[in-house]
Amino acid sequence: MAQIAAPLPPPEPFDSDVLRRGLAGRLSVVGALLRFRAVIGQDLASGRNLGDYLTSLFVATLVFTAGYGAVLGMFEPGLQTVFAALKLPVVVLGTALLCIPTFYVFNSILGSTLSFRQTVALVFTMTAAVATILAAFAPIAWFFTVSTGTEGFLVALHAAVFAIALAWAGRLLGSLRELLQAATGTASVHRGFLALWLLLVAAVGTQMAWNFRPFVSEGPFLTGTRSLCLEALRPLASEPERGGYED
Amino acid sequence: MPSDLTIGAPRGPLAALLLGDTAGARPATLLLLAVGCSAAFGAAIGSYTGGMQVLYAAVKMPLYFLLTLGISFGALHVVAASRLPAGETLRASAEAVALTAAALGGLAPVVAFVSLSCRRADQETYRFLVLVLTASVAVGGLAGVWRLHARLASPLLTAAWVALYQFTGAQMAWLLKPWVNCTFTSDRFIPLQDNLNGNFYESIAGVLRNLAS
Repeated sequence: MAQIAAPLPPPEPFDSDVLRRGLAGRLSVVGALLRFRAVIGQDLASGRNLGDYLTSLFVATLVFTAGYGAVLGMFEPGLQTVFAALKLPVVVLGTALLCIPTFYVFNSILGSTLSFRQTVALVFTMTAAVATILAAFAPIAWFFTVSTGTEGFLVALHAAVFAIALAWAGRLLGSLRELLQAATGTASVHRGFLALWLLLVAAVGTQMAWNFRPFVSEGPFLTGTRSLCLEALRPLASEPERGGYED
Repeated sequence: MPSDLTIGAPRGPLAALLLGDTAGARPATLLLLAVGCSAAFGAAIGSYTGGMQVLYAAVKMPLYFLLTLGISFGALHVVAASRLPAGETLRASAEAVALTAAALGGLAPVVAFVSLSCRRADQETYRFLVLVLTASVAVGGLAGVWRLHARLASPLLTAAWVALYQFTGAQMAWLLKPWVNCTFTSDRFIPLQDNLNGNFYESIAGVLRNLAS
């Protein structure tokens, strides 16, 4: 039987030098996250182009989360679209920045020899992975946003997209952990600690999103009220007290 | 320039402490790290109230660690004297304290964020915050005990040191309270007059008596 089509050529290998070539070069790190994790693992382990990785992962996170944020805010087009596009990168990058010291300190105590810069790069691969999934789901989220009249369904949809994004980012971190381990021959990230830390990230991210609410419905950029996201799950029975207590 | 904590590849004093490369470390360096990291955690706790309380808690937390170590050091050394000279006792205890403080410092950004998110003057969220702080201190303490156990290589000696340090530390924490000042009427550094009424163990006994009655 005659061959109908020639097999696809193998993909061009990723070289991190490309990260220096403008915005497109920076964003090419996303393609590398999807297809060339071994190269990223090797570069992170050796520290090659680490500064470019840091910048590129940061830029990719910023651009894609801003895009998905705009989709979130399109339920109430106008100022809310701009607010949400500004707020979502703050939530994602802010969560990562808050959780980096915990990751570095406890991972080092558990025996990892990753430097602080390598740790930051690893955490930024997670944020870029989250941003990539958000960007992939953005057209679907947009479609439902413009064709749905009630807020409840959209909130559930966005929550599901974020859960998928974090799960995939966790999986990516797991595979990078193994690649780093193979490249350096030493412990890179403690497996059990990584799972606990991802739970911490999910908790901090949820609280951060709560602090910056609303994203979908109309509202101010910052409400300025202090409260915990747990209150949304279980409304507090007690009224705020005027007196005080201390420990 | 390689630090005095460095063994093998050059790394900063904090990284060397976290990785346990402290064989040539000066106790003063370790204690300096403890001061910096515990001050960061103290500031995170104080951020719930804000204002001067951030500074007060940032000063009190290193005081807590250093004064507790200073007061209990004699007993720690006597217990370990058959195994360790005084210099090694100081290094091992300073390393455990510094690692505890470093672990707390690592948690500080998250704790500060939670503190700043908690509703003010609300009993439920205040209790939640106290729970977060207690859990943080427990995690930091576990890290310190783990390192101490690795250094001393004796479960009995480790347990004795932890018991002595905690016995003193509980009263020191009592003396330096408030840690989470929720009165919002005035910032308070160390209301010594109030804190000298009773002590930590008497208050625990009081709580137990109330539960029994």
